[in-house]
Amino acid sequence: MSDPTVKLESFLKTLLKSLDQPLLPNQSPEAYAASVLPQLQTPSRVIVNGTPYGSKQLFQQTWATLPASQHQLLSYDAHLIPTGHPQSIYSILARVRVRFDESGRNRLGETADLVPVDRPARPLYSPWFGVSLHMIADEQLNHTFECECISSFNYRVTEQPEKSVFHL
Amino acid sequence: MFQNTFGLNASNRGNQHSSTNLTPSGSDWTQNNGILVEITGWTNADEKDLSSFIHRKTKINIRLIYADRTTGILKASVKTDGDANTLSKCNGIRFAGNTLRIKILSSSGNISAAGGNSTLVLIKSALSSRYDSTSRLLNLDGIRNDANPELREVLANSQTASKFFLAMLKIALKEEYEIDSLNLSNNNLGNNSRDLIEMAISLPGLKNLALSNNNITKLDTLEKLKNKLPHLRELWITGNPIDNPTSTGEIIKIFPRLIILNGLPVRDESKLSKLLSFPIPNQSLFFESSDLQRVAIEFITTYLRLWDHDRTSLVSLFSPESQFSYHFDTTHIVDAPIGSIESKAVRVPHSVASSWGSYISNSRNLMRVSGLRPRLSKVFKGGEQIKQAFRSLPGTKHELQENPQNYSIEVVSVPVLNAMQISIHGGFQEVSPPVATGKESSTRQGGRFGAPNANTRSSLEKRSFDRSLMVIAGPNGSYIVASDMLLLKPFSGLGAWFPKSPLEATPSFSDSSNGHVLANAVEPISIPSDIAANLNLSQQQVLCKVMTETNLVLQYSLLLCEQSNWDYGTALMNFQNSRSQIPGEAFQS
Repeated sequence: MSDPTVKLESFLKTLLKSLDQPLLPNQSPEAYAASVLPQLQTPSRVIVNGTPYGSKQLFQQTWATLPASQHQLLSYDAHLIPTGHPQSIYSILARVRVRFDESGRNRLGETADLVPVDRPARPLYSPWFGVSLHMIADEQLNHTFECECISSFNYRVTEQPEKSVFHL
Repeated sequence: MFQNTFGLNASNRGNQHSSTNLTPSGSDWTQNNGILVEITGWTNADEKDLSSFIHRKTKINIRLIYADRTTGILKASVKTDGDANTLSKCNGIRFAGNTLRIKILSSSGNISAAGGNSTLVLIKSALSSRYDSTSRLLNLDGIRNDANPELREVLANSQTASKFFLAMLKIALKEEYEIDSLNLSNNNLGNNSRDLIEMAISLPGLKNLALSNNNITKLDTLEKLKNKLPHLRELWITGNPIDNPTSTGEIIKIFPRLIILNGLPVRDESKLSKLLSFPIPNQSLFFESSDLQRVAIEFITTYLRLWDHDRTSLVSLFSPESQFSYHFDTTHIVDAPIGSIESKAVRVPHSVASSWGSYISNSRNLMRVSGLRPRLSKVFKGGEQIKQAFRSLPGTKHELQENPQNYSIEVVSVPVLNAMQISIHGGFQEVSPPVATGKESSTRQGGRFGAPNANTRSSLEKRSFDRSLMVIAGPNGSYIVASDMLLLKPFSGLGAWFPKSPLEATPSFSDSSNGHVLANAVEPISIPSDIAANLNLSQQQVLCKVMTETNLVLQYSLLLCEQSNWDYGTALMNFQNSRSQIPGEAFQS
């Protein structure tokens, strides 16, 4: 018998990496948005801070307007639940922390500056926010992460630092 | 607005408080039986009217000493410091169509002899005369050249000036002065940033700051304020050597919310606001449909009530295939607000064993538990195992029914299982140690319900949690919990979903009995990618909202949005006006 949860940590880190990836040189905003969490099914249930996104594309476009972020997986647990079909599903509950660039620029490079400002490429990160991540994913992820395997993705900021310039 | 606040503009960079016309000072004051006050703004009436007015307002008798209608200055005395303080609270009050300004100038000789009291009076006098409660401005412009010679004397020495300045801020905070704007112009601050840093630490919420004409030559002086004034919106540094075009970009980087520098806009405020806020609304509750809302609220309320009061009775909800596991993570991300947890818990740093002893042995944090056997041994399957696991956890008290706003819940359907997935976040108080003893647990599989010794030593604390339940609809309206995962965290106070103002308060769960929709019970709506590709983000959002509100199918919703120029309000109005003419097939089934 093999461990059904053996690939989950790597899977979760892949997802978080896709939420944090920067815009590549010469990459269009549309192409960039499409690279955010491509593992979401079409359609899928995406809930961010209690707000539903019926469209994967809408979620991706919204996420692309955020400042640069940095997620870090803190802990997780998962159950593999039989469905009566050949494929079982994973219910995954993870604790994550995230921080956002507070330098006044989003990941597409847009700023609010009205005068020239010479900014360093490095983000100026906020204090950490706490996030609870709860998702349902198909067993298919054990074969490849490059698939639309997430049917439900619930991202909830649970802890907000007082001194953060970036806010909910 | 800032110009009004500080009385500054690009061409007016002079000393706002230069005192060429000295008034009779405290040291000239020879009336030894009281505290000297100066009142202006009274000249629309006579001195007796003023005296009566003040008595009516404060029950304090002032003794008139000197009044000059030409200069508008009236001097009087009151008996005690307390009277002077009470009187100073009338600063800014309207009298005979004008605004009274009351300044405690000095004390009589007996106060001067009192040393510290004298300084306190001096500070309070300066504060009361230089604070405007309407604009929340503390105007210390040119305070080194204040009309009061005692103040000038104290501020002439840079060391005492620094102490005086800091004491003034502390007293202002202690007496709950609300300060949004601070004018420190014309005080020859130079590059000594210590006072500025202390000021920033004392007033982290400061929005407007004027530092004009202070001989600041080094940008480093301002850079030391980095991360200390996160809300600063407006800054004046005119008349300082650092005020030059090359430093503008550097100054902007120091203050993340700076919009106006020296009266000129340097950032687009609305754009900046978007860049520094999460672009997704923060709702504490989400239910995929009103049916799920009704069922889920009833279920989770009952589940947590039984978890607190009769935990083992929940076992009837678990089938032989059901799974339960828990884990804890001790990472402190934010500190709980003082007062939200027992003071002892704040003071005494707990070891993991003493604080989390009840949970250690079976915590299934897969980041830390590796290997097939340990991972499988920490997930409990079937009613009997789950019952024992429940007994190995401390007794708890949730407050979902008493304070539902302290919890966040999201519920979606899981069609493949004909189930609902419930996510709940909040806190609970541990009220009793685990029921399971070492003897009992040692009889279970490998003693995995154990750590009993740790259990008995583990302190009872308040904790935050995230919990995920997969609930399947069973026969005859029953439920089966297919999966229950619990994540325990250090208590961090109210969750990030907690409304920031009463207007955003979440309705009580009890409202659900009337069929009231607690949250945006919105069915997920998917816009086909070929259509979405032709719409910008806001158009997609309007389209989703219109579909939800009108129940029109995509094609008709799109038509309605286009005819309404993508304005949500107009679309709803047009929908209402033409509803009777819309064919039946235009609506979602």
